[in-house]
Amino acid sequence: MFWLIKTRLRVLIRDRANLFWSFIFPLCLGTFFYLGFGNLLGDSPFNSINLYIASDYSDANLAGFLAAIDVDEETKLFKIKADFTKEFLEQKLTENAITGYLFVENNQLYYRINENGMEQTVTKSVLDQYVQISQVILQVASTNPEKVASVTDSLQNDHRYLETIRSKRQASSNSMYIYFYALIAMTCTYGCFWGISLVNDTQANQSALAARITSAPTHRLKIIVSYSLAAFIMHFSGCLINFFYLNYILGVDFGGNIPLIILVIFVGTLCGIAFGALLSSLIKVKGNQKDGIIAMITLALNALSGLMFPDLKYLIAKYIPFLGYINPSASITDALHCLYYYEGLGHYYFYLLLLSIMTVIFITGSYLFMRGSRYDSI
Amino acid sequence: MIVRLSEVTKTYRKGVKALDDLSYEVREGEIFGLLGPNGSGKTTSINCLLGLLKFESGTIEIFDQPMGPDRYDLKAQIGVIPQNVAVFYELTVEENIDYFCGLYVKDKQRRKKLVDEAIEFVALGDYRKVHPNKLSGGLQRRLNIACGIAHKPRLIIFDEPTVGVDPQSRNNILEGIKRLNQEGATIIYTSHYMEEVEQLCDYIIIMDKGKVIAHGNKEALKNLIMLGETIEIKVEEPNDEYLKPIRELPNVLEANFKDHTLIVKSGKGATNIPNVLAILNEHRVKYGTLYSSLPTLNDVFLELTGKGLRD
Repeated sequence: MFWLIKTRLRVLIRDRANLFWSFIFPLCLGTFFYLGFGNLLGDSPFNSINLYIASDYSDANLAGFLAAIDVDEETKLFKIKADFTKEFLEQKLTENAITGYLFVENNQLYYRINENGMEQTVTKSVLDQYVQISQVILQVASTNPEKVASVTDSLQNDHRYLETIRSKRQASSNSMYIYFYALIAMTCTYGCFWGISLVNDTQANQSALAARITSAPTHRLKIIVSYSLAAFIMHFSGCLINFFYLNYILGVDFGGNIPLIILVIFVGTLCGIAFGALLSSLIKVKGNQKDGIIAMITLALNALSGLMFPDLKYLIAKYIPFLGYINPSASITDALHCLYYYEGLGHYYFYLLLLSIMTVIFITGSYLFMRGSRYDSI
Repeated sequence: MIVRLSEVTKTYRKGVKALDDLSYEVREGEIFGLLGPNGSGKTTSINCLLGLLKFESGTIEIFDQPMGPDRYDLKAQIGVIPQNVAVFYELTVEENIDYFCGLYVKDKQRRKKLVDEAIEFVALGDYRKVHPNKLSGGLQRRLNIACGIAHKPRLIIFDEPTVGVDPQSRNNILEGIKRLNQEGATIIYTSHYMEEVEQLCDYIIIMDKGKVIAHGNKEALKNLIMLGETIEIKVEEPNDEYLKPIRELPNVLEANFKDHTLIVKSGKGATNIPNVLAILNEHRVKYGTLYSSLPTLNDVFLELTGKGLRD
């Protein structure tokens, strides 16, 4: 058995095509992602928004309200600048020196901007809530003046402008990381190419080489198990190298729970190889045609898991979540994302369980196809 | 008996009957030729014999024991040289032979000796560390053979091993097969190259459409056909005037021109050479070289399987 694994490893280690897809391609893609998004990956602390309020058209309550909003203990949401006239601010806005300013006219709140952006969206959201709260308080004041104090307290306590769902590690919520998690998922699912080789070299109806091996007196299960183990060793090594390269060389933040990350890569690698073996057994065409079909399927699964457009992943999660649950690539991406993003491990274990179930199904399916030793045709 | 196929029938999914109640026996120590046109069922019969293919009915015995996919004890005594070169292109010549030998022989020391002998046998000593894709077609064929014989099998199956090789390599392969036979191996040799089978095999069966249509040694097969003699004469002027009386000669099966060569085929019995020459002289035909040949296995094959093209 050990001799079979050793010899098979010698074959696989010289299989340039599979080595490229398992080792070289993910490293290159990771490097390209890093070069493309690298400047977006750093922990970017929140900077307070400069908010200009026209001093001659102001509302003392408004300035106080806005100045009081905290992001955290040290950071305010807005840096209020209320020392300029409306005329001056309008001129600065025309000159593009500022992005917007606030003024109040006839009890009506106005927010003038010359372009859309994150800061403008946050500001508008806060202002909308301010208007709603003001109206509620005014209405309560006119109908039940004795309850104004309690309503005001309640409203101030209940709303939060920044939802803090980040972990205690204070990891930055950077959507760019999804690309790298999807890249790890892609590397795992590229195990399908080793799965194709496994079937091609052990199924007598797939190649003359397999027919020759099947004609030999070595037990069939022994061959399949040793070839599978060799494929797993090769591909798991490739996935780990890719992970450590992304994590330690490129500095992509995976959240730090290395054993659980390795666990998901371990299961993902098994899943990828078994998936390829199952597809290879199911698809009746041979040679490059089969490789092409399986490559297309894998690519589609990776695209749906957010490798190319993270938004696609969110759209699937929103409209057809089932598709996300049966996509091994998406499960790997989600498991890694949960490890990075959430404090608890519940979500992580959910996706790991999904991935494990798929892996068991793929292994069982491919075993049922591969155990046959007599064929209808060769 | 080394191999016994009894009334084996195999039909492929598309309804093509590849083997139709096929029966044959291979005796110990002989070189058994399996002849037939493309699609006649030669390779299918080999795959059934090796336990790779399912078949509907019939029985297969090897070394007087029923053969099946799990008969590893029987498989251990068989060597297979498939039609296509079936080796790992990632391994060197020596590693390939060692690998396939290792599927049969576990002992490392013994295996090393067997690998060396196999390399010497196919004369690939200079290419031990070379990868198969760097070898010529002929050398790859020799490697293919070495991988199938290194473990010294009792029964060796050669499935068209000389397809696409040059005459020197072909000769080397055929000589090697004879040597293996002399060393005690029983050989099953499938081919559609008549001269190889004629040169090599002790006993031959001719298959067509999944059935044995003739069997015996080469002399016995030649006696199965009507042809006794083929006369070829170079003539200056091919002409129907003298072709007609030649065709009317007793025992002549057919007479035709091929360019400037008159070809006369006669049945068994006395030679027709004097009669043909007499007619040519009578018609004052100028002629040159004359060849007379006895029937070959090719004539037997074509007469039995027909001259229609096959896939």
